[in-house]
Amino acid sequence: MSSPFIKPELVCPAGNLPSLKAAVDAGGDVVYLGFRNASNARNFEGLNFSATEAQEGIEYAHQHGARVYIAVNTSPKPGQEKAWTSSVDLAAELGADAVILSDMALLDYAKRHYPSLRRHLSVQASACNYESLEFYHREFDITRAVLPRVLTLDDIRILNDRTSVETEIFVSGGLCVMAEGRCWLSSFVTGDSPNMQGVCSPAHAVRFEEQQDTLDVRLDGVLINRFAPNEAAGYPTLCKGCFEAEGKQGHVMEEPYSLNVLEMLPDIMHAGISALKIEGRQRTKHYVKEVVSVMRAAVDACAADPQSYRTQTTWVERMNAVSEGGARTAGAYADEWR
Amino acid sequence: MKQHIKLSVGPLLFGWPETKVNDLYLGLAENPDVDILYLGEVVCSKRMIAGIDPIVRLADELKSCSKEIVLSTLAMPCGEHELQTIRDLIRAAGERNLAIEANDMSAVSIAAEAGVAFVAGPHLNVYTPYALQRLSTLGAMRMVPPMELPPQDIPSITAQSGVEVEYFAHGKLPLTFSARCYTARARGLSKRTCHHTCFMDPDGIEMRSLDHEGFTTINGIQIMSHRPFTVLNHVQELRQLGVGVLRISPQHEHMTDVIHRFRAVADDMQDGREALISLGGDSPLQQQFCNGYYHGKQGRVWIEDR
Amino acid sequence: MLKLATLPEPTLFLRPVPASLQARLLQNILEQMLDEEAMQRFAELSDKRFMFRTFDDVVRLGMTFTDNSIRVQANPQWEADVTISGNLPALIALCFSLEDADSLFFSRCLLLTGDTASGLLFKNVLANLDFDLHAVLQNKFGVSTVDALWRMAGQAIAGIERADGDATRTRAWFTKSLHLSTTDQTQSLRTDMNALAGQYDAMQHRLAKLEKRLARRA
Repeated sequence: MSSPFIKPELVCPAGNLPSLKAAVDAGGDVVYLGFRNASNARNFEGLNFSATEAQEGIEYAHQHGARVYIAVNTSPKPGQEKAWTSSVDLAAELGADAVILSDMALLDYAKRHYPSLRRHLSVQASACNYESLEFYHREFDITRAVLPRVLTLDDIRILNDRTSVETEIFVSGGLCVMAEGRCWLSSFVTGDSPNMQGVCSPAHAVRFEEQQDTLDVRLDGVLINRFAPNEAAGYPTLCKGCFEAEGKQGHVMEEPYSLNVLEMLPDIMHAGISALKIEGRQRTKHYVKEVVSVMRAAVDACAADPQSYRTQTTWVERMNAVSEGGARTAGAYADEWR
Repeated sequence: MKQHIKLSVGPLLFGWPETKVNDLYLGLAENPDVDILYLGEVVCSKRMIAGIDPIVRLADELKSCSKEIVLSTLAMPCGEHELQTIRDLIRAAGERNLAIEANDMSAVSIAAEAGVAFVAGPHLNVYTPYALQRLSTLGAMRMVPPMELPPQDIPSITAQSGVEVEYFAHGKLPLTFSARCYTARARGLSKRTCHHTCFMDPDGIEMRSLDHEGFTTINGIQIMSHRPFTVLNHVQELRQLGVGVLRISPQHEHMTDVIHRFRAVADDMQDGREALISLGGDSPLQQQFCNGYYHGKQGRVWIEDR
Repeated sequence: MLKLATLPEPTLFLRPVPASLQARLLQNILEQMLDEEAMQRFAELSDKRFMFRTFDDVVRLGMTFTDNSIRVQANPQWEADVTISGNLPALIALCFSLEDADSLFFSRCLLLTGDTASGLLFKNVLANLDFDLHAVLQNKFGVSTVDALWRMAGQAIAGIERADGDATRTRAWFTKSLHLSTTDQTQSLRTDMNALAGQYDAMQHRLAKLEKRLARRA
């Protein structure tokens, strides 16, 4: 069974205005961003956009033929709905091309007040099958859904055949090994979660400690990893840590590799996928420029001639150089990963 | 007159052989302290070796007991086979006038279409009053809030819809779902070649930090808390917040003891803290249980509260 | 991408420079870099003490953010809330957003200890600026001075390369670190830099030949 060949659009992360410009300049079709508050799931200190910055960003993108999606993808705290709905209002006012939402309350609000503003279902909604996608389409008129990283490419191809909703998948960057939106590991250890506070493994809980022979990193006091003197270190994302189980020590849940689907691009383009999402709003413009340039070149090359597409070594090198742990895994897209 | 609090036994989250599952539920059928029983597989479709038949048969056997029976469904159906399982269970529930527990929007969608009532399970992520209201119009008659939701938020979420609230009150906390099987991985296997190895661990496998502190429990594609969560000493407060049902999650041993104490405390026959101490044994409570989520804090901690 | 840690640690060039001068220089440049909005965002750090130090402790600069201004002190006696340690090129790259900050941390060129959240805020506020180091220095010290300094720096780098034996890598790092904006000045500077390094190569080659000839005559 094969789906029609689609050249997907590149959806690029922008944690700040310089990154947005870098993404657009490097050839991104779309940039996605959030406002500087808990209404989006990358609520890190000093990150994200003020209203003025977002306006400037949208103007810059539009001038260069790129589009902007705005993420309001956490759940409003009871009694504070206004703070979230006003983020949706602002996105519409500034001329965003789509809002990325996960909570039903906001999906309903956006549909009623801004029917012509495209509604995308965030990965935080954890919709992993066509029945869910069709449900959200019927109830809230979503036009696209970002799929959680729990499906193989075969699963995704079949799903695309059974739904009219466009799909968007993550192709690069930090890999989430759990079903996004349904992971409470962060609140279990630190008290803050993506759904409620818009963060996973928040910085306020992180401590790097130089010991005698190691660099220890803890999250709210829990030892997540231990690095030898010259070993590459990583941010203590909970699921990428080093732990002990069945008498062995290791990355019991996931190695801290970053996602890399360069080899799979031809298959991806035959799976009916509409957009490729690059993770990394917490990274700098240097990262964004590198990754978007590589993906742009790779996607263009593959789309031009999928039969003779070959992953170039320089692409892999450039991705590895900026990726945490090196860009080495296709994650859940490949069945063996399970 | 205080509102009567019901006790439920939640769906079994671990992998147990069919005989052990049947023993548990048939035993509970006779237990006067329990009001609601949840049958079914929430975590991994591979555990449903014989499909939905064992679950439906068990439901039929329990028909004559005075309990409410609910059929729980998978939290993460990724393929057609799993969606079909959900459809079949919903049809079976409809035929027997039973409700299902929906843990994925696909189940909500199918149940709504089939006119079958459902419990909005904890994995539906109901954080807002609107979401609950919408689910209520689709057929939700009860909801289990996400484990991380602070209980103080419950009244504002349920205010408009008046849906019954069931609070996860005792047991290892389910924290995540993944495509990868961590039990298989810990044993050098994969999900495809797992040989149902999770059936060897009725309470899951321990995962510790490199400095040997208990961290989490591995349960197939699910990660859970290391120690069980409990609010045995906060039953009265939960009643005040409008909780109508307390869920006890099946564990390998001492189920009857746990259920009995919850019943005693809920009926004001025993002090909650005393009941917890008598349940726990000799070690301090903070080494045996966690309750951070009840206090709106990190789930893994134990907060002493007199 | 060049690993900064593999560059020879140039702190020995800094030993004769008084610490107070180091502090003043850093403060001046940062004051040029930071606009009003950045200072407002740094207000969240008003009760935090930052320490920037090289791994060998040759450079120890404290930083505080009070009263809407930044203050850099040499060798502060107080205990820091946040300490950022690293080799000097990496510290410079962080403060002036010359390279991807996270990669510097991953590759152990930088280490953040203490209050991680405050360190992250610092990094993110800097990353938010579209900063052109060259233009800022020109503003401060004048066009011709900076051009001369830039050329000198190029020569110094070339010198280090000579000693280190690997010209391409260091040049690549330096030209990459200049690639902040697309202004014409920066472009032409890069051309100058490359030409200079090329001239050095040619000169070195001629010198070597001359030495051989002289040796033969003797």
